[in-house]
Amino acid sequence: MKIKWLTGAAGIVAEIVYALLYVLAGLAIAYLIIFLRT
Amino acid sequence: MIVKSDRRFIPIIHYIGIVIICLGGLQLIPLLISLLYQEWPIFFIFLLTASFAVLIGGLAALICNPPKGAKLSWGEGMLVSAASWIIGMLFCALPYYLSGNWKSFLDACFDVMSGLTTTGLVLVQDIDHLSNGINMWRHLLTFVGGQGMVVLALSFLVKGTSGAYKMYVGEGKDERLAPNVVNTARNIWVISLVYLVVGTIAQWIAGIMIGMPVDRALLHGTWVFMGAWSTGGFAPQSQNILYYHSLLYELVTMVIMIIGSFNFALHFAVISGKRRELLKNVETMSFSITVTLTALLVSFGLMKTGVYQEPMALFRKGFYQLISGHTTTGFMSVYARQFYHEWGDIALFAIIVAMLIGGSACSTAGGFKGLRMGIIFHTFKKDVRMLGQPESRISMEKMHHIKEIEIDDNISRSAMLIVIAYIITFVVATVGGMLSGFSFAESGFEAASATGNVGLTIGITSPSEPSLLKVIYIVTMWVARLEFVSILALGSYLMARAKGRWQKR
Repeated sequence: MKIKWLTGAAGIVAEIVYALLYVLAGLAIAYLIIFLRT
Repeated sequence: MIVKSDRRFIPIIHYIGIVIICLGGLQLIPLLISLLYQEWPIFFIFLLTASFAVLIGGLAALICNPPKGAKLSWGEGMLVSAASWIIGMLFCALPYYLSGNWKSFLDACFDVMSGLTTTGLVLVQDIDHLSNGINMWRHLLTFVGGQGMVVLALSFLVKGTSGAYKMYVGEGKDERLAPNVVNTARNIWVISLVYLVVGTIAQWIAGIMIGMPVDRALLHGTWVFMGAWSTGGFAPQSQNILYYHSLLYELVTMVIMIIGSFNFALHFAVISGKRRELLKNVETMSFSITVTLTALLVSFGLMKTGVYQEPMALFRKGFYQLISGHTTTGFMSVYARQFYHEWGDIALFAIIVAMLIGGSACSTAGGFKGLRMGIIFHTFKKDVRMLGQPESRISMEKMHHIKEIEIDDNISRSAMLIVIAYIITFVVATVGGMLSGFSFAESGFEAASATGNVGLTIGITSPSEPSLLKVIYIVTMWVARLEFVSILALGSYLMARAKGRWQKR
């Protein structure tokens, strides 16, 4: 099955954005925990 | 055409020979790097070992050429995969051993198996002064191992698909990205190579921004990408990711680790235009739930010990290690003994659970796999729902994984059996650690790391660890990577051969 370059690139960008959501979630958890501690 | 039963080994040896040829051909890459950097002893080592592998593999493939139309049975396909990994390990260990950087051939074999299974535990001495050629070989092994040696052979050297799917499944994958398994293998490589370019450029830029020379930043970027994408965790310096002391470097590796742990079928669906699959897929949903729960537990545990007082420290150490463990990468932003002395039981327990759960099926990651967590969850949900319904009522439970899948008893049983096999492997490796004199926490952590093909270490894995424990971990990494079935096929074949010989007497 041939994949169009633009569709493939959009897919890669989507995966990177999705992974960045985990990074943001990790930051949020870290700030939340430190906030609760203080 | 069916090959006569006393000559069933012919196609098996033929395909193992093809895999060995591929591994020999792969050594051309570190050979070229050694040539570029004028590392002459390493250059000649790779020239010798690559030639040896191609010669032996070629002879095996030529002499044991199966008749046209001969088919591999399921057991034989799995046997090819299992045996290829062990025999391949021996050939791949030769450059390590001849380089003099490993204490013994057993240590060299350990590091090869650790690389191929994308575990990342290391026994090499003085990583910081390894040649560029040997470093390239280390990281290439983890990159190839993540995709699979058999997948590599299928992509380039196997003609026709008779028996190919059986070998492919024997390597712990069963997703079809194309109707033809050879094209499935090629699609897996295309996806990996596209990300190799994208990810290496990102790491290269990050390396330049933290002050590394351009060529060194490119080499490190390539190697660290290979370690992150394959969720192998090898790094070119002994301090691992801690060496770079860079939030940017850690962020880039975190993104690559997460993406690297996804199912190749998911990658294929997303790049084909089905981007919503990222949110609907049972594996990504399972991963997001388990990451959130274990991250909260790790953070709570670290808060109790008080070792990280600032949010960014908690994020860069605690969350980074959690992601590294859950994706089964094994990159370390802390020293090994810090886990034991500073993390406390709660955070250690959360990391152990995360390492065992692992990443997605048909990915470079290890562990139970998110797909099985999803299947088990849906099975429980169905059984609990049936408790409140009349006995005559038929209940259906579905989950979404690329397409809608009905959870039937066969799927549930298969998932649970593999999870039980993982748990048994983990227990055996833990007991091995304790019998070698390590504490329960240390043994459990290292066993989870080996079983989940993770690579985080609490300090047990070292050149001075008992040889028996090294063998236990080699076997643990191997059986867990291939997900047991092909190993059982190999064991069954060997027992049948031994029994046949015994009966002939």
